[in-house]
Amino acid sequence: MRNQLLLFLFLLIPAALGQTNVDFGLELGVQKWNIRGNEDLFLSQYNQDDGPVLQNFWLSWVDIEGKTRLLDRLRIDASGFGASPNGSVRWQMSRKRGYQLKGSYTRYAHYSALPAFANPFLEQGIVPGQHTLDQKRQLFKLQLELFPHKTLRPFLDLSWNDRRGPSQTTFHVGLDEFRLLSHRNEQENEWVGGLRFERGAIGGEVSQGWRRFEGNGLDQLVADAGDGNSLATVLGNEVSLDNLDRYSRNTAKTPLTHLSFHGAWSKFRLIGAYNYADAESDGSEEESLAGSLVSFQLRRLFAGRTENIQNKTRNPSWRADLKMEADLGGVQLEADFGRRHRQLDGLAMVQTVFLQATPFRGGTAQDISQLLETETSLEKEDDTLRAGLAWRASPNLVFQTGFSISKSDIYAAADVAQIVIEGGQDGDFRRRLEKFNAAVSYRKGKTRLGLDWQSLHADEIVVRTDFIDRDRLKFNSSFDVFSFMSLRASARWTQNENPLPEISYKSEEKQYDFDLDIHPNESINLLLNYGYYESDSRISQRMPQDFSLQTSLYREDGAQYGAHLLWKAGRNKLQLNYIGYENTGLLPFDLYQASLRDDIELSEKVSLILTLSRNNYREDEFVSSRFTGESYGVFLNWRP
Amino acid sequence: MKNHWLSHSSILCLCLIGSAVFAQDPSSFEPSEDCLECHDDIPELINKTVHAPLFEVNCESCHGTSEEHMDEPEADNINTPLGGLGQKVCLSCHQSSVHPKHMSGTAQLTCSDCHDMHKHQKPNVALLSDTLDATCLSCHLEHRSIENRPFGHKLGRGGMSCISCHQAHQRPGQVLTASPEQMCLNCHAEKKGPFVFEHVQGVVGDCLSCHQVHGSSNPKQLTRTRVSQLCLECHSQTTQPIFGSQPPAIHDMRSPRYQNCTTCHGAIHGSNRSHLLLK
Repeated sequence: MRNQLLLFLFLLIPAALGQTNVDFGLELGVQKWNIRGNEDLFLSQYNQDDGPVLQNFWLSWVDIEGKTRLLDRLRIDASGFGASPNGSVRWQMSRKRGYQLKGSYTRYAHYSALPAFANPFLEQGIVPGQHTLDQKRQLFKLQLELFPHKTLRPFLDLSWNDRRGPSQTTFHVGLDEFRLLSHRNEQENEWVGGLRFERGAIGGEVSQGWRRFEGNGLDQLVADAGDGNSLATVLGNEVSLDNLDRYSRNTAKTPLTHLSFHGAWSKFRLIGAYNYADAESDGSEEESLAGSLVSFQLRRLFAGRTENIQNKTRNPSWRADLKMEADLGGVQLEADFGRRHRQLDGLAMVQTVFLQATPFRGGTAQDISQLLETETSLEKEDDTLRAGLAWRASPNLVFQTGFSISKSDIYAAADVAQIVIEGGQDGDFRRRLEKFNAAVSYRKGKTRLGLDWQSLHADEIVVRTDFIDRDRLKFNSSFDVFSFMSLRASARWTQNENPLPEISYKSEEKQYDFDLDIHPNESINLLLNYGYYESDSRISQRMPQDFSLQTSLYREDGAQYGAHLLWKAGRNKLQLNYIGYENTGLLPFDLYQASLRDDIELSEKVSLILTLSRNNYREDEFVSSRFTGESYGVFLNWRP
Repeated sequence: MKNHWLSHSSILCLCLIGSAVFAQDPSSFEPSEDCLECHDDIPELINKTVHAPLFEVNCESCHGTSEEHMDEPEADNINTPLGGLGQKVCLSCHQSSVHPKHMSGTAQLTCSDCHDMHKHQKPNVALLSDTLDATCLSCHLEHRSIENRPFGHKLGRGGMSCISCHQAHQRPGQVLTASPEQMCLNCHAEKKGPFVFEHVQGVVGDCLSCHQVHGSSNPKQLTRTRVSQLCLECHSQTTQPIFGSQPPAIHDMRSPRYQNCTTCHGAIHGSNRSHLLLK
């Protein structure tokens, strides 16, 4: 609340700065939602609430006479604060040849509680299930550049990212899952300072940054969840949990170095960039639990467990790129080479004590201590070489073609300590990918046509879903049918294939979209659109329980149609929107959104805004997930 | 939270004070009197834009001089910097900070396709002639339907717009270094790691290997409807030398328990203790 008050005071600053060329607007009001059906799913998709909302605020202030020494330009845009769980404000201020300051503050509320998705408690009627969360993320960014448009320009970028809030997860033991309530608190700060230089056609940037991440989490057993979700007993013993407390901390520090330059000489331009980051993380975790528990790995029943974990990771990575461009009149050439390298070394020490452990066959209970040292190592290098050519055959017609070769080399070391089934978890994996693309575009007046084709071929795969061949064709066009009517159309086809035995992967995506924009006069604008999306994928997979080969099929057929009308009549500006989306794939659903907004001009500077909306979501398979959300809003728009 | 605000505000104040010391008097847009005879509305409009205080600009800076236009004030006898000409005019100042990505390829856009240089259309930013998302969607038609799928980063909510992740313009140094996962991790910082045991991201793929970021018909913006389907398509045994292993036989996929892999493998984005990403 205090932050929102500070923010509001900040928005009022311009009022104190004078009246020189101020453009200012404020749209504020209240909204009311009425939800029928599954409110969790509504919040997961829309996350709206009742109450006052700052719909829009903008301010553009320019001191053209230079009377204010602190700044001569200020721009602020804000929206969404209040009952809407997401809000943002951005500002830019500057003083000619003095500084440019850009900043933003954004707040996101993330709610996810999906009743039927990956829910191990669905059969017990417990919804939502495991992966639910109700968290807030705040982002704050500040970018300051001194002496803009001078040769040397120092800059400082700051960012702060904060996520916190409750969530629900599970703890698995024996045949049971136990619900845990988690609370996460994570922050990341980044400071980057550097210098940009610009002299004629030559320029560049050098910067050094520091990033620090700090996170901690607390997981605890939900009050009534000690019985778990399985009625089965293990050797006649019921598995239950009396308490569980888990506290984890993690810190990551990353110094960042960036160098880049660009220069143009005659018809040539050279761009180069180098980035280095060396992330190091340290963490620890303490867990204690008690109950009537079982470990199949130890072949014992036990009454409690304490666990302490210490972990450390180092991850140096760098990336270097060089690009050359040549503009030879009607022909443009470009070529670039980039190398990306990443190394990861991780180590964790896990000390576990099983309390009062009794062998399955019976015997004396005793504490058993386990020490696990587990480590990992990864090294990855990617090289990419590209070359391209664009030929302007006429002022309206451009042909383009390009070719690239990418090589990936991944070395992964196996973690011997934790491997259950050997194979496929370590080794050296290589892949070479060749890509060819060609495109043509035509543009004359408001008529545009574009066709873009690319084809990729790989020699190997690294994971099963990698393709051997991939083709993509894109088409887009727009033209005026009449002076008051324009038509836009686009299409995209993508095909992936991997014919290797035991995989036989094939996927196909098609998407077609059309926009018809009708604007017979300045008072009426009607936009009609239609989109169709089709996705089909099949891949063979071996089922773990019996090694049988089965085909995994995925299908999605979605169609969207929409109508958006803007009608200015007298003192009224009416906006009507309707969107329908129907999916007949593996997860069949329909959704409809209809909204109406009427801006009624009360005076030259004040408008009254009335809003109505209705959102409907209907899944075919899981009927109880359906919802209808209706909203009503009254807002005032003030433009002093 | 309070400490962050205080420290950031202090820095902001110090920077502003320092900058003010170096500041010089600005100059404004000063049109020629000859132009004003007909175009008297332009100075008021342009003086409310970013172009007003930054440079010693006048009408001729962009439109050139034309005696013919003065004699016969027709639109076609003065430089109207649209199309390729507009690009040259704008980039004569903006060249250092803008890489013309959208101006090449099949897009062949010019600055005036998205921007109106003479005025800002309230409440649009950056002199855009329409709202930001509408500007992008007028060419990227497919996103109108993608963004309306039930699970996704819905545009227009909480300041989420196309430029939250994409840069329509880039500094030259950024042109070569933008990578897909970095855009996601700017917000989702907790998934950046590094983790002792990583999964997919930065190893054999990126966030897009499992998620449809613009909008998805599947919960959690996944590329598949069921978790087990998504996992098993990679983690299934073959005789080919590939990365990823077969789950053990206790994972009987006919049982609902094992169809939700993330019930046990909860640390799916990376773990600091478990190779199997158990927590």
